[in-house]
Amino acid sequence: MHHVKKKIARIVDELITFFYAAGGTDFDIKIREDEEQHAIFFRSNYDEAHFPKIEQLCRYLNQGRSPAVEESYWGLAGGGDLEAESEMLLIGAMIDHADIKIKDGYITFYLYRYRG
Amino acid sequence: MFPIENFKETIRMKPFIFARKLLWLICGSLFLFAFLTGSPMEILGGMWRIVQHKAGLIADNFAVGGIAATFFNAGCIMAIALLLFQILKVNITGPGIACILLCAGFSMFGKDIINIWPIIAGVFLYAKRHKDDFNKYIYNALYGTALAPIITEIAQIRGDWITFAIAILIGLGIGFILPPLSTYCLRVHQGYSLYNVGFSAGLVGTLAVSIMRSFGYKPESQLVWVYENDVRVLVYLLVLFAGLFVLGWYLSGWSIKTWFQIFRHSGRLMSDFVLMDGLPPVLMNMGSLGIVSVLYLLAIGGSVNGATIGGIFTIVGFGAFGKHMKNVLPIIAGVVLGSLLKIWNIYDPSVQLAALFGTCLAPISGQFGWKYGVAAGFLHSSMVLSIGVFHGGLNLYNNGFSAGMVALILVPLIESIEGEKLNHASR
Repeated sequence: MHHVKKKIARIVDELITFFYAAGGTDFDIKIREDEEQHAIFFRSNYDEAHFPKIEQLCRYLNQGRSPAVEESYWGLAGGGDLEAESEMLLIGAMIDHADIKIKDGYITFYLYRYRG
Repeated sequence: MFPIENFKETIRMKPFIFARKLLWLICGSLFLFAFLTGSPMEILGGMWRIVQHKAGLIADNFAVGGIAATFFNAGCIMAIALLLFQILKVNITGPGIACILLCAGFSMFGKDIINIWPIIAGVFLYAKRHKDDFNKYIYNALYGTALAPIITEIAQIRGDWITFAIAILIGLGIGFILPPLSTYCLRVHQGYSLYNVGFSAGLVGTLAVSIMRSFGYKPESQLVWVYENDVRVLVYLLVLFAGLFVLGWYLSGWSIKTWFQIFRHSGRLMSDFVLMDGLPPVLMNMGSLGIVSVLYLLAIGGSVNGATIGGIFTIVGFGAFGKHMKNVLPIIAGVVLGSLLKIWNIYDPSVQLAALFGTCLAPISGQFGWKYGVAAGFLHSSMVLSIGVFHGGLNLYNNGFSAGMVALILVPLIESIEGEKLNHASR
């Protein structure tokens, strides 16, 4: 397993880019790693008009990790256009599990990426 | 719950299980068609000729080994790809369908049951070198076989065990360098060319052929092409694609609305239509693209032979991973327009392939609009006919190489023109 940290950075980059496009102006980001996994905490506000896209993002983030897709296409993550749907799908392929909470105009993600 | 509802629920919840079974069915149909059109001895003889023949562009296996052996070879390669997915426990969704059908398609002109292995083994060594599971690199391994003709070419220089061993070593080397290079190349075209490995394989092929030339060996491209259409092949293809469409239509509750919903996607990498919209509309998309591709070739007076079926299978496969009617047709229109203004004809072999394989630039029309798609197709048809000389026809994905170049030039230009409209949040 290589480029692990670069991939984590790309995931965060994509989320920031996505939420900028979704009207986000207030971001909290935390990354924590231990022996078993990397955990990304991401919190942002958003413009209600973009809620359908955010719902779609939530669906993509819970599709389950796909190591083969990740290894072939992770190079695309982090460099794309705002709101690029295809790259959200890619982020979904790069994480194992997502806990998502939506409250008071803010969305909070806990994204987990197991090692190995 | 009735069994049929169970069946539909399985497709909705676990599309990869149904996709795998469907691909095995298509694989079986290739074998069946082979045995319906030729005897076992004819197939055996044809396979021997295919394995021995130079595999570089353009060697239509219909002419080299006959129709039956061509389909048998395609069935074998497709079965190998499917087995690899199954053994390595990789789920088959859009990227998997595209990869497996592409392999089957290119087995009709270039890939055979011998020349693919050194590159696959090279990618395996790369995975082991990085202490990774091979299943992460399955796409690199299978797509990487674009350079399989180099193995055949080198092995035949003297035809003895020394050149055979050198060919294997070079194949291992190619497989070893392709994964990191392919990842890097993605950044260059930003996912606007669907045949990413075609771009990286083009670069590796150019390097390999340059080295071969500097040692005095000059691989030459070839044109082995069947011009007549075989009715049996046409019937097989149209039944297969109509079957896919009808199956998808049925699974969608006899509604084509879901198929049209696919058209809203740009198709840019990595647009996995199976995960985005479900398998039933994807089947309609694949079937319709296949039918239109066949009809296009017939309309222009082209040939439905091994090479063009390779293009058709690739389009159909990428119907699950980036291509749909709305983003593909402008590219084809650009190639057609080019043939009206340029010095070649729309029915010339290379131009037929340019129209089919050039559709890997479909994300450009999907993202920026049909006009840019037409421009991409127009430019691609010029680029692809000039660029093959660099790798001596030994990169089977010559169109992917060309498309990567076109995307690299065109996309920044389009973004500079359209940037403010596209990136409204960048203000």
